[in-house]
Amino acid sequence: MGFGLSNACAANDLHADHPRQPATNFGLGALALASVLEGGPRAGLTRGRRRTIGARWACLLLAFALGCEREEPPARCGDDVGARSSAASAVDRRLLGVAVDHGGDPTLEARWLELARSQRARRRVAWEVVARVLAPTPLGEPTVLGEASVPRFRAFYDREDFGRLFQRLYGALSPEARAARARPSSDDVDAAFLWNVGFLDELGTWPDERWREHLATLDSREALNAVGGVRRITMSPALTRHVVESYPEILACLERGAPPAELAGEPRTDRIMRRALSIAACGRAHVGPFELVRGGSLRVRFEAAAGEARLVVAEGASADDAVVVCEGVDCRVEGPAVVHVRVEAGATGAEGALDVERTQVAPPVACLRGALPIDAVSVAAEWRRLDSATPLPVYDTSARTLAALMREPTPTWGEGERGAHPAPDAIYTQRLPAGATFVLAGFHVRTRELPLGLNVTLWWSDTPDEDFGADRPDAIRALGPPWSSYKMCVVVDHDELDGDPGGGFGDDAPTLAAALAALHEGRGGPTWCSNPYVDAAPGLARANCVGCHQHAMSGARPGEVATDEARFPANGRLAARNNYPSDGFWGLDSGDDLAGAIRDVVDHWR
Amino acid sequence: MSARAWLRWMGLCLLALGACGDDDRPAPDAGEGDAGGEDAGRDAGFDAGSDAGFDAGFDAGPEPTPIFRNAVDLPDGELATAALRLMGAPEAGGSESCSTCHAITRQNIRHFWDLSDLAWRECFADLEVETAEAARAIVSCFEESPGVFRTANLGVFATGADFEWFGFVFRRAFGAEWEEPYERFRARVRQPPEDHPSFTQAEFDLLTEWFLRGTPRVENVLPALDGPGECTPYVDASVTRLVEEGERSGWSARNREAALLMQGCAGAASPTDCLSAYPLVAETPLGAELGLPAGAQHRALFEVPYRSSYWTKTSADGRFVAHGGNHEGAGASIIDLQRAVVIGAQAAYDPGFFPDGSGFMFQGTSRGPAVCMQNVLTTGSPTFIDFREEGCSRTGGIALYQHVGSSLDGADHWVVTSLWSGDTGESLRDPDVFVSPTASVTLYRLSNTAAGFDLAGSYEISTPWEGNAVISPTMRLMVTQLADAEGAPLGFVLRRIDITRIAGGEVTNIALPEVARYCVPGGKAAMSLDDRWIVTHHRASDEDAVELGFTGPDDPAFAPYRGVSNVYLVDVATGARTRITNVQPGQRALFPSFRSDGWIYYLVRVGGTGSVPEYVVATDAALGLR
Repeated sequence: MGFGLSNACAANDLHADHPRQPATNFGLGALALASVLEGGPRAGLTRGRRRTIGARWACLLLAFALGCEREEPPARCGDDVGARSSAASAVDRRLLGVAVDHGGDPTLEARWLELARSQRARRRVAWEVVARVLAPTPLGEPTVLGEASVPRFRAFYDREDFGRLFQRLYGALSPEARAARARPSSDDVDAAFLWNVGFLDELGTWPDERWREHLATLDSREALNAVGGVRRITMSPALTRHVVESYPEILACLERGAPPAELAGEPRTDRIMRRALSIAACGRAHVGPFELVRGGSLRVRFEAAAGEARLVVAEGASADDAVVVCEGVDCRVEGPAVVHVRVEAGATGAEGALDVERTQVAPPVACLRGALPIDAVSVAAEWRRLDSATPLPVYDTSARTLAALMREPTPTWGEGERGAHPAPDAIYTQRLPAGATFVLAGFHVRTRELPLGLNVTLWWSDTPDEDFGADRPDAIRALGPPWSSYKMCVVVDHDELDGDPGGGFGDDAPTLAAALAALHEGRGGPTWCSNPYVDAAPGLARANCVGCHQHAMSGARPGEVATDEARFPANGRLAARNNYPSDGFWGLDSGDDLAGAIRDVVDHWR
Repeated sequence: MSARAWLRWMGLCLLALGACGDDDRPAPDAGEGDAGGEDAGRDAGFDAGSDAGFDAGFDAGPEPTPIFRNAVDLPDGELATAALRLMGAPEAGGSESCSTCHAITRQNIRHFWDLSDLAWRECFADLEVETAEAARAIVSCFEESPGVFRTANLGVFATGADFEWFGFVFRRAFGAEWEEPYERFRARVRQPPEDHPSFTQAEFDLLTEWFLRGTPRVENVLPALDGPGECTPYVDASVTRLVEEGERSGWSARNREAALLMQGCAGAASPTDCLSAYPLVAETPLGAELGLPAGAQHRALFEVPYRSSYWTKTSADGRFVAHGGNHEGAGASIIDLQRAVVIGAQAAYDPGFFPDGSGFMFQGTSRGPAVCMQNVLTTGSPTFIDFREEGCSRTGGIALYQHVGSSLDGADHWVVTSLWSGDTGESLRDPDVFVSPTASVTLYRLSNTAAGFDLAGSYEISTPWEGNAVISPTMRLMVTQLADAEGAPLGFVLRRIDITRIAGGEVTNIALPEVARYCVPGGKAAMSLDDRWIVTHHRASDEDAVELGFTGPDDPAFAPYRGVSNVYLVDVATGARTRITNVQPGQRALFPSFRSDGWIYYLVRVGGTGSVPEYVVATDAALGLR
């Protein structure tokens, strides 16, 4: 192999792989900003507060090097999928800190066909994603409950965060840059993520005493679960960044209308990764591999913010056999190739951002700056208010019920089989200050490691170990209640390529196999995945996520897709476009209407 | 009531015709004297029949004129009881109906009679409607400005707006194009409003019979009222704490935390730097004298090309300004200051914006009271909305003159309704506030279901002699107007809203302890989003002459200022009152409301009734008074 080391690091070579990535999505700008903020814009803070926040940021910045992160990532680089689904007010954001990207798995794309052909493999990957979504993430400060944590997905960004971030970034552009619709720089986006955490303190309305009073109210698990609020759409930092940087394309789509369903392929450059790395002295960070088709190319850059580092790019079927094709800080590789990326730190370690762009011929993603990066995750949460007069509907997803439901011309989940009042240990529950109680009835998680995304959805059930919960792995059970109360389905394509109606679960999970079989329309038929709580609209009980998501920013509405058989056959489950205007992200024109939020900010500065 | 008495009343009113406006006309005494005997029913039956009952048989061409009303042959006493029961008077065994919104007191009945009498003479003088011209004259009589119908113009006859005669009038006036204006008329004028049971023709006959006879025997059913006594100003010490809490955690603070985009604040270092792109009133026809106090900015935001109708409200972000009235037949308007366009709204009046910037409410839409997400006003740059857009839903059952607020934790939106008196802004004195010792407010809880807001209950609480209730945006405070038995406003009452909840956030009780009285004149109040200020408009009377800078009410220079309308702030914590406009003769500053950052928007009318343009003006006066 051709990976070389400097002499000064040779002694550490055997145990020097400390990638500790990816703790956060911020990069070089964040590093620079942190040093400024301690004595700069935060000068108005009390001493104690400044110390607290400074310590928080320092922890985030040094997470890679000093181990502030809870755990090492798995050996493979596909990591934490995070999402949250409620409003992060400025108060909550201060407590949650900078959201942590999930570390999308670049190897997953190469497994697409395997996942499409095997329901079992598909579900295994999906449960792994879910485990990472739900992994506990510590809050920035202790509460009266001690060192409290929230599920990872609760720290992602929502519309309110997005509003603050985009206002900050767009407002900082010069009038000429705004007129030209210039993009904010990556460093500015990094800095804005940090600024958002400290925004509350700029207001001067939260002295220490008030802050302590607020923390004191987080005196129960349900109160703590309310950190983040009740909003629907949340986004990983990578997705948030991509939407921010795509504002010119989003505005253009609003102004010109949706692109046609068929577009010719053209060379398209997608930033598929921007990942912050902090590498210990003489350590190495491995990223990849990335698969390249013929005619495609990959550009890899490492922007060091501190220390010294060398970028090493190799090509080969496996890392062990790879041949170095480029060394330096800015490498380009032509396809076909399997590309392995390594960053080697010098004797003092290194911090910086790894940026990976892929160019290939494909239909354009008209309303975004290219396809979403592999770290992109969106979560659509279905919160339901629970009180004595309003029970939570319970849905039966057994084979028998599903078979009957699928026989209906417009399969619709309806009002449920019965009502329930699940306790907080049986369903994720948040209690607002005035006592209002909301439960997480279901949630979509959509990651972007695969061409059409990994589309996972979970729903609460009072028979959680049956059918779609029958293969729940120990990794989920280990998270404790209430996460073992959610069932799951997953889709990676429009067509079901698994020829086994039972998805390979006939022996070890017969109720799941039966339920899958009730939905199986033959190999090559449309796939199925539907959430009784989220997909409540008529016809959506026979949905498959990808069929609906392909129409995001196309002008079609989710309700139409499932019911307009003439335009969208098979309840909208089939591929109807060769280009996805927003790469399947409904958050722009449905849900939280982020496109509208962007337009409002731009209008505001006119 | 005898026919002679009826004629005497008519004569009195004719003598007073110049002052027969809905608010200012001296009302004849309908409840006393020889206002009726048991034989009055027979007299009235003859009178009413001769006026109206025979209309049924008139052949007006291809389409015969339908019946307007039928005479009712009941003795006055029975008629009074039956009519008041229909109106919801508990003393007559009634409930709800008109009494949901209006105090059924002798004084208010007299007020309604004033309106009805005027309507009978001016709008319903020709019930045969033989020609298109006659029909158009009737339709015109129903309007306060072209295309904008006004319930008060019909008096109690508005309770028949659903009936065939009215449709006939519109058909005759507009031919094949009659339906659209008729539906607009119906939506806006119909009483009781949408979502309340309509009167039958027989009930309409009975009610109008009683009013046509002059509401005889009202005093036999409705008691005389002594009123609440004097208004004594005070501010409870607890108010200071409430104000402090409002400043630190009210919607102004919350919206700053959310970085709510404030209209005209791009690049502004502080709220006072906002709206600088709009001209100061000194640079407009409104003139430099309009603004007070010294140093405060008053900026003209928009020239309204139509006559607005009833209350004007602004959104929390100050981008939208809404009211009844529209120049293109929409019924109501929402001005988008960002785009400088008027969005026509298929609604009638009474807009209300939620203080978190999430949405707004309107009355009189084609779906009745309706609520929409605020992004309905921006998605696709609309120029018209009909409240059937994605993001709109109906909130049936909420009465007119509602006011909205939101709990700070996002759990609930709230709406308050109460007895109220309409304020068109045209009167030369503050509107009467017809209330009663049994007055109450109703608080509606719109529960956040995470997918929207559902009506989850209502709570009626007694507030004797108080009406025109307004909840503070935070839902921590409520302001009402206190009035005497004659309907004269005495001042404002501040009440704390104490909500008792059980686990799950369900509301089990609401108490409204009084914490302050501000004995100052004015119209319906609005509160700032930090709960610090009450803002209202007030028409100058003799008592204001000195405060306006004159030697007294006899100062000849004061005469043209009598009846002008200025905007006033009341500091909730201290009760201190500050005038923030200095309108000149012919100007009226009306309908103030706060946006989140403390700027106040108000409407300025110039010239006589119906004059256009009107102006939306903004001032930072409250920011300077802190």
